Amino acid sequence: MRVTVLITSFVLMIASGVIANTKGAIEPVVRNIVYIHVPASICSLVCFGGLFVFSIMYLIKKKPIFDYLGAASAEVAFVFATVLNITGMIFAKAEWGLWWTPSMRLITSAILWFLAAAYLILRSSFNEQGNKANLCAVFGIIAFVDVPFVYISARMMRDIHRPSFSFDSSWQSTALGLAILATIMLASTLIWMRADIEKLNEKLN
Amino acid sequence: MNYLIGAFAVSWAVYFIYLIYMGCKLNSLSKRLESKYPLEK
Repeated sequence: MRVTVLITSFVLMIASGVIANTKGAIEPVVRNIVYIHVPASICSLVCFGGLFVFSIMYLIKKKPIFDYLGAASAEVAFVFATVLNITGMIFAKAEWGLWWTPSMRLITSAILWFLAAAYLILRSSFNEQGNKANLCAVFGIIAFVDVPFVYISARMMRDIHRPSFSFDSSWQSTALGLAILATIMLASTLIWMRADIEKLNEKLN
Repeated sequence: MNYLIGAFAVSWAVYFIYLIYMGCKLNSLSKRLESKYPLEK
């Protein structure tokens, strides 16, 4: 099942790449980074949403599976936030001539990466399962506070980062839609694998 | 164009390295669990 989802996700990514390289190409060419940057940002926000939901579920039900899923969501959110920030910096250098600038969208996105890193550091610094799970769940809920700020920052204030992207043709939106779908499928498989690793680790200890 | 290639290369490298790391980790944990609690045939 997992392999099927992964293969489907890669096929969709390739299909998106083919469309983006032919009929869906954006001018100037560097703006095609949007096909990686936007799916990565959506996935990192969705993973933070997952962390928030699983943390609440753990605090209510106290079932270890929610703790495993929360930890998995945080780690996958970290991976996608890394891609989001790196591709964003590459785009900024190409488009604006600088790697980073203190704009609200860029600051809140960088905070997102640091929050995911802090969650992982916090998790690895505990040995006892009960305390670790409780504290991480509370941190996961607090960390989610940054997500709405990432979304509204460029919409509420004047920002160098545009709030949304408008497309010239339906091919471009199709390519982006496929890329988002493929990345979400990849993210769910990664969360699934990571939660299984947590479960197996717990069985072995 | 170089920036675009760089962005694609970095993102795909991150995804693949993480995926391979998870696959290897899952495999080694399954083997350890199997050797600790062997299945009766």
